[in-house]
Amino acid sequence: MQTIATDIQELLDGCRANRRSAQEGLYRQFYGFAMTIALRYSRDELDAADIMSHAFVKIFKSIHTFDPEKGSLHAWIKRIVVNEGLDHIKTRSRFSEEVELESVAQPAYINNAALEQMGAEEIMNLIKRLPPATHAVFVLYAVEGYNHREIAERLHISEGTSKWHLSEARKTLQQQLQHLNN
Amino acid sequence: MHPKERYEEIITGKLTALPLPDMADAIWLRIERQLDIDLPSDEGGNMPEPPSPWSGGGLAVGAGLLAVVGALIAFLYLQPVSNKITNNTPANTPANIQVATPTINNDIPSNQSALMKPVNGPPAANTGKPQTAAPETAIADVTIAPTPNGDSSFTPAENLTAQATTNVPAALPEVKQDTVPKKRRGLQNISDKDYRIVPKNGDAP
Repeated sequence: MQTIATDIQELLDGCRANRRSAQEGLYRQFYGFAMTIALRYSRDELDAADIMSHAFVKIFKSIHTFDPEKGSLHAWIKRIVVNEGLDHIKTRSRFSEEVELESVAQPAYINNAALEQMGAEEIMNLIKRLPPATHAVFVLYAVEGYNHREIAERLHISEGTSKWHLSEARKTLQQQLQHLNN
Repeated sequence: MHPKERYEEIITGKLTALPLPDMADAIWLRIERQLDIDLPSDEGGNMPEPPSPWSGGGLAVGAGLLAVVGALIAFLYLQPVSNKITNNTPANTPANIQVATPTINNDIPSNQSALMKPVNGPPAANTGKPQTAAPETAIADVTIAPTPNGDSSFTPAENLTAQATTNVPAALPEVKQDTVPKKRRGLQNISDKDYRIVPKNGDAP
């Protein structure tokens, strides 16, 4: 474990010195971690590759701003990949503000047993079918664990809009799960 | 952050187990290409360097390129000479001949005699015009001779002399005739009339 930490520190130093070998080493070290996040915000692997390449270029260009005392490298990289993923979704969709709070219905019940029987790719395919903005809000809330206030700040929407998108996502997922079970 | 519900935990757990696409190398190539543009590194990337023109097959390419450039320069250098030769042939139109022998050369003997005449009058007045006027401007000034600035004490004759002395460049190129007449080419005593197609009497409509 100590060796890995030392290795990462060496890679960080190399990245700060703009050495390609160190940049490639850091990229390969975090490929799996970052790709898992990128896949959540993409429709397919090509989208994920776009998110990854843009995110890592940003990472290497701003590596000197990373401060280990403020947070872990994983959290710093995750934030950049998530932001890039949201930017990618924004290019596909406009985040509408015209949502009335009254239209936010009670959260739809999701059949946990049905979910547990599904594979990861099947669940991901259900999420990808959501409209882009709803997709983004659902992943930020249900997977990343952000609350509506944080989502609203990140996406520059109101908390009501965020709640509406989450409600829509749950409703759609429940309908799709019922359709699959039938 | 908010406390996760059961379905959220299931989805999160499943998504972390997603199989990763085997695109690490392809994505790194894209990243590296972009970094080479945005953050050039002394270490360089894995991109192959372009071959030097002075080594291996590049030498032949370089030599070929040099030969093409040399031929182009030779062609451009010889082009005006061939134009001059063709302009002096009798088959050319008067317009083309005018290009070969500028009109200023035809006008110069009369104007030049006036311009080269010693000036006995008052010293050249400063007309306020630039001293480095083009020869065409000077000739126009001499022939038109306008009254500058409405100065009544300025006679037209003085004006003519003043303009001539001030506006003409210090040394007009002396017109030289070719000492050796250029050899005429082609058939002599044949003009365009000889090639005119005249309908016969019976063919007239």
